[in-house]
Amino acid sequence: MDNTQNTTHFDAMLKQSLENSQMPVPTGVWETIGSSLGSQAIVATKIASLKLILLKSVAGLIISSAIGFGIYQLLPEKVIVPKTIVSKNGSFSPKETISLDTFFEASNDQPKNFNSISKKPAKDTALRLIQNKTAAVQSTVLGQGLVNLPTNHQEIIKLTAETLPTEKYSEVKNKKPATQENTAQPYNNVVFPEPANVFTPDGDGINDNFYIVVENEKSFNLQIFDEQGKKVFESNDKNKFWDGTNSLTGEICKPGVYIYTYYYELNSGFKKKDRSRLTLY
Amino acid sequence: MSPTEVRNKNLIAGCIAKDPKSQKSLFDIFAPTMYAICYRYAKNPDQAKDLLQDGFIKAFTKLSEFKFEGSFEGWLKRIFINHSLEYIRKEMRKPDMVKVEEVHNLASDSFQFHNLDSKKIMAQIQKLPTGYRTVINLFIIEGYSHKEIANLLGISENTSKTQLHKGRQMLQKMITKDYH
Repeated sequence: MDNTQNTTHFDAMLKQSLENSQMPVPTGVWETIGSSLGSQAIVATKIASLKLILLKSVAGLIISSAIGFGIYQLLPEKVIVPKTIVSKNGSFSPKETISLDTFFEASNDQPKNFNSISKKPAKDTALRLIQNKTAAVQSTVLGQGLVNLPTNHQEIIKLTAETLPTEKYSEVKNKKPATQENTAQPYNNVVFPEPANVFTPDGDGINDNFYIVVENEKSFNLQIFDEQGKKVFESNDKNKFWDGTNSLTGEICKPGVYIYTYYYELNSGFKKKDRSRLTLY
Repeated sequence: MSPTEVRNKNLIAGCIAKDPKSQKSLFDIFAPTMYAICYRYAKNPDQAKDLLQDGFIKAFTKLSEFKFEGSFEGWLKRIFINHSLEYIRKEMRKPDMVKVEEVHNLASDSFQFHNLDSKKIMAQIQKLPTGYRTVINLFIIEGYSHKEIANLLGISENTSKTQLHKGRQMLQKMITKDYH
């Protein structure tokens, strides 16, 4: 037998004996494969469920923002912030207007219309301005709930400058000519004047107490913190004024900057939440 | 379609649907053949077991790519061979492959056996250096050409031929020794 034949013979035999041979599979192989496949399946389902959650949340986000935008578009009034009510030399700009609602209190159950509420005195400082006989307020109904304040009365200017320094007032989006019907409408979106940002508890009767001006509220909360973020005052009652003492320790607070946050909800459902700083002298 | 093909088709569909019963049946049917393939490519039984495991996991994930053209067993075999080769290519970078000279002038004794015990040969093939073993597997059993082998393993055709020649001699020697 020569070499080539030998080789061919060997190759053929080798191929024949090995090509379709089978061998008993060692134990444990399937267990490993099965568990690997199982975990792959679990991972796949996890990924699928995560994708679903993501999809759902994106859809939810889109829907809620669409609803939000719709409500925003439907709202009849917008709250805008006039640049200044009180100019630096202490006089009113005649063009500035503030909401009538700021100055009148409506009883809880009565419909808020101009005639009824205008007769009822309110506690807040702003109302006092109007009722001050010496102040000769010549309020003029301009449009829906808007009053034009006089321009040249010192006391009003002084008081208002103290009480209403920096301020957001509601202003009716579309000014209409003054009519009785307009003024008789109830107002739902009332923004009260910002509280004073200067606070002098020295007993002179001016800015001795710090409080938030709000009427007709359903719920109310005021918190005041010092510069270190420690709470010095908290109240759920708008009539509880801060007199400059730490309500927890009873100590008199040091002069400085204090942060206050407040929240209220009116009977009409209008809510406001804000924070700002005030200076204690 | 033959009954085997129908059975395979059903099993494949089941496996794609991740049905554990189908997966187990498919494994039970093909594992012995595939294990034999892995065994003759591997350098020891442990490696063969690893190749079998990983090969099946690979096969299950690739099952949806099977287009029902040609035999399923042939397709599966190719997966295992390719998987084994991937393994071996890493191994071939090690100097193992040239540990050859010792068998150099082994006389090719005339080979007179007409039946070979496949189990014994399997064990002997595993003892061959990886290069010899792989080329013998690919050339003699799988029927690849030297050109194809050269491409698959990233070696030259001549290397493939030399490896085959030397591997064959070594294996013959081992078998002859075993029989005497």
